[in-house]
Amino acid sequence: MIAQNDEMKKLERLGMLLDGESADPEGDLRWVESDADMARRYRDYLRIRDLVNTLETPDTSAGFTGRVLARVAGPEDTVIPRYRYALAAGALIMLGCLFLYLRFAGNSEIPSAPHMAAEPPAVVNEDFPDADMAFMSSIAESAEFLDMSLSLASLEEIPGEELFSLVAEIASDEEALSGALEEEGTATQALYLEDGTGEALSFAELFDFVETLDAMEADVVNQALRAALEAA
Amino acid sequence: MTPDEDWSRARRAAKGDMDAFAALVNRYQRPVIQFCYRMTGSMVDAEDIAQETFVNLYRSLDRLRQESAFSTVVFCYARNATLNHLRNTGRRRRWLDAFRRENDASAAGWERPDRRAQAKDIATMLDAGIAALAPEFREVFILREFEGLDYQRIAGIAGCPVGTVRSRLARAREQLREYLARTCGDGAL
Repeated sequence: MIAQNDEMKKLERLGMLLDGESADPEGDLRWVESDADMARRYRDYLRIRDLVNTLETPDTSAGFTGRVLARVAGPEDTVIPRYRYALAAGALIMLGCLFLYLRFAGNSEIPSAPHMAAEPPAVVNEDFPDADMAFMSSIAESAEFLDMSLSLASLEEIPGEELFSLVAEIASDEEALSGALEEEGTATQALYLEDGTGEALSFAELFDFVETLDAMEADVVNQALRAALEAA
Repeated sequence: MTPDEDWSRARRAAKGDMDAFAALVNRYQRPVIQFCYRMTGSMVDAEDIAQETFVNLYRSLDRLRQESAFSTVVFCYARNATLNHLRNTGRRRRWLDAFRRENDASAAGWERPDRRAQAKDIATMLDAGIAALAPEFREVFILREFEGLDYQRIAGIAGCPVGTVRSRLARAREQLREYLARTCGDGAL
């Protein structure tokens, strides 16, 4: 490899001498004369150059300039006709992709949520009662506090500890709101989850409760949260 | 016509002066056709490519910037048109070459001693040798030996560093020398 590189360097130096690009032509010429192999190649290259000069290029056919001028004066063949087949093929592929997307997009399975994830509210009803709106706002504020957005993906990725914090905040906000409303003499009902026996649990109670749950039990709580949110 | 005059004519041509453009075509048609002919080996193809070169050049005149010699720009267009042509015809040509090798063995026959006598002369062999070079070696060899351009301008046309031009030229010369020695005998040169 090194020998090849050295050989290449020598040939490049020889070429530069031949082409008048050498920085030190006299020194290079002495180097060539001192190396029999390079001297032979130098003579061969000069001979090739002489031969190149003897080669003739066939004459241009008459009227070449006229034909060029006629072409440039004529209608311009735009890019579209030249690439029409490529464009048509591209359009077909795009249509095919669109069809496949429309055909199969609805069937794609959404990965299941982590076991402690709460499903976000599917629909925000503008006719929510004030108390429910307050509840929704408190979710938003708590999420903001926890540096989370309320998108489906991010909500489903909430770690268990953060979810507990979120639930606790919601619960305390809810209790504060209920207290404030009661002080104003407005009849209202705090948001409760049902435990399935008709007994209602406050969020604070629920928080205390879920802290002790294992994975399977957490799933049950998750279901309860979802049911409550759907009911809301 | 000086290089500045070329640019002056190019600017006038861009504004619709067809006489100015015709003067440019007249000035550059021979070197462009020679370049295309040496690259393709076919005069018919060379004229077609040269036409394409000038048409493309005309349509780009208003976008050209005077940052290099006008001849460099012309050769850039000629090179692009030639490489496009070689790319488009490559598959067909490879098939034809294979067919020729199998049927009349003319290509291989050049290298057989008993066929050497059939070669008209060494210049014909040189033509064949140039045609046998890889396109990237052939183009720098043609621009240097036929058009007499220096390394800097060849690098501008070929879109590569001067060092690459230097090494490609060295390889081209050496391959050509070996080809002639192989086909014509060691003492031919």
